[in-house]
Amino acid sequence: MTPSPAPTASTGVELPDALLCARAVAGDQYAFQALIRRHAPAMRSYAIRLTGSTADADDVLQETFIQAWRKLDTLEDAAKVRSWLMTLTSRKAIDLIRTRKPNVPIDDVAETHAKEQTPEQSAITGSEIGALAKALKTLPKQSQEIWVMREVGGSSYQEIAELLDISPASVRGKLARARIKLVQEMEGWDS
Amino acid sequence: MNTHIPLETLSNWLEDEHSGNHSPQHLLTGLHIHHCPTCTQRLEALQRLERVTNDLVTEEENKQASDSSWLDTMLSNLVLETKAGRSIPLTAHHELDTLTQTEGSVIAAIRRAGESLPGALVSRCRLDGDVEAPRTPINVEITASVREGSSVADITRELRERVRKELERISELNVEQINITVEDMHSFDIEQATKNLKDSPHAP
Repeated sequence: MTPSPAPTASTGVELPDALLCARAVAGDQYAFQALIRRHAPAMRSYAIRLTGSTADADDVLQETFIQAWRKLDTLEDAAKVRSWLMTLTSRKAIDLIRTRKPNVPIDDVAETHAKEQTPEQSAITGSEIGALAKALKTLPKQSQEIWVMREVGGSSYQEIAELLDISPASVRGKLARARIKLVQEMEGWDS
Repeated sequence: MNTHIPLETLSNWLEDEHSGNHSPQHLLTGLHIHHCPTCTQRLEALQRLERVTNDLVTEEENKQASDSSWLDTMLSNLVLETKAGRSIPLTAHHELDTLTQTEGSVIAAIRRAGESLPGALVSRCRLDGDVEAPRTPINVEITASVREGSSVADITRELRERVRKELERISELNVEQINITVEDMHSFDIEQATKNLKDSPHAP
């Protein structure tokens, strides 16, 4: 459960994203890698949730890293690099999902999740988290995508709307209904 | 049931509560929730969902961070384009040879030489002038950061010296001026951590 040490752990200082960004924009690949190392775990768990497959998520991440390196100089506020990387991840993941051949079986994220939990973790949070993971599977595909983009990716309604080609109001409505469905599934709510 | 707030409205109300959208309608709804046990209960269920959602997101991220062998593999396979920039001609010893070096490699060398100096970090570096025309005078523009407590005058003088020597060693550029702008101050720890980036076991 402990995150891997940051590359700067030897001196106990965490370099700010802004400094790493500035150096990466100036062509410093070491700084770029440090930046990626910091945010990749969030990007990967997000991509796995979106695509439903570790292999697909890794393809998404490879492409996202390359694009991030090329476009980093267009990022206006270096403090927002994390949400910028998550947005790039959404775009690449949605592209991949849309071009994927139908009927190709994909890993079941919820099952994988349940299997990979240690008994200790399961005992503490497993029941609730497991129930949520299970409930997520009952959502319609698009509602699942919206929920993941909002809750895991931290995207705005506007961003989600653009990616899915629907209106922001529709995103808000579907998200609210998705949450209600999740609560109903998890708590046996009557509606 | 009809007197209660529709579930969808309740969920949106919670979103507005977080985003600070406190319209009169929002406040009225809030008042109702406060006095209605059923709506309060439902709101609490939605709040529990928020908490479990956070737990799920954190747990899945931590899981990825705890075993990062996938990341090591991915980063070692990652090929990033270097920003080559312009081609700088070099003197060839044989007439038929055409030798050049990239602007990117010269800038990288300037950065390395500059940062070999304790107290200095090179933020940006630019070659100003027509580097593609041999022997044309050019200027080097460096933006640097100086460690807190050190003398800006000493650091810039020594930085200029190291960069000049390095350029003489690795290039044939006709450098007229090396202009250094000190834009920032940094701590000892930040400097160490920045210089350690290259020495990290995961460095490319």
